[in-house]
Amino acid sequence: MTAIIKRTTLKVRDMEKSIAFYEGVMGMSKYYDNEITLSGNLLPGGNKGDVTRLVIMQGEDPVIGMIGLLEWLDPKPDAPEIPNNFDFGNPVFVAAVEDAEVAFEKAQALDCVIRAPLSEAEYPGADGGVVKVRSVGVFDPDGHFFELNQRLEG
Amino acid sequence: MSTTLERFGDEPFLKRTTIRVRDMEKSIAFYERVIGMSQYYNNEIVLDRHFLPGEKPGDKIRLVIMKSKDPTIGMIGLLKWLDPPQSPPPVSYDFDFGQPVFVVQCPDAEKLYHNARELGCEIRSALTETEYPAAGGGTVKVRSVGLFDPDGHFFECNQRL
Repeated sequence: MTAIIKRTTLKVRDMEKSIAFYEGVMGMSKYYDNEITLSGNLLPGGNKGDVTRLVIMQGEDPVIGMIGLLEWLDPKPDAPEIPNNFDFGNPVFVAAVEDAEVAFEKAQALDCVIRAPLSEAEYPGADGGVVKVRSVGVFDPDGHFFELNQRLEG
Repeated sequence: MSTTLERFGDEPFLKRTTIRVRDMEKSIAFYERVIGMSQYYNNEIVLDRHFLPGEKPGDKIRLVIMKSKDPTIGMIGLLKWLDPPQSPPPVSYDFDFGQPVFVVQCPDAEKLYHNARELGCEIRSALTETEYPAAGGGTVKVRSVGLFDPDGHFFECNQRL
């Protein structure tokens, strides 16, 4: 049995700021936008009757690789300080971009926290060769790290 | 432009989500036996730049990438720091700021639930059925299982009814 990971959902502090990042830097568009009252049965950290807003951002693929943005509307949670880190429990999103420089400029225009400006690196490829990339490392507004890689020849 | 980028146009596309793991073999067993993925990549890498948060040049990691049906997107990267060795905190079975929830579509929620139990996974929510508003209007009915991977990442596994 093969399952498909359709999306990764993240808890966000400011929905509009998050949407601006996923539209402006990642080039995604809104696929879903609804208020949902939680049953309290499934999602950890959610109680019965909690009201949330779920926005799902879609890339080019209509089924997988989506990002869910979940904001608690009622009750409003106390959000901790944004750590801008990659520790146990945190995700890193790895994305392919056509032009890392353009991605970098878009992130700068949105005042994203930049961890690593443009740099180049080589690493072992899946097929045994070497992959060369130009990369930018940025954080989304809630401190989730994005590694944006442009493949280079050679 | 490469063939892969042609498939997705000129916008960025998410290839994978990478997470830090405590016990690589335990994690691989979860992603193979519960989610049904297979290994696409398995290498040791010496980090050589200040790129990844927490990275120092010279650090050695093992990266395993688990693939599902799609050869390009929807993958999971499992990353274990080999050198210097890490002291991970206790596993937190929660969903808070900074933590991801993976939403999975599966053909048979009951089978997935049994596979997870066999592997001794932490189950948050056994088989339940629910309805929620669909993207195009109307409602979607699903049978769901909520469980955690060995490092406490939550998986909402839904079978469409």
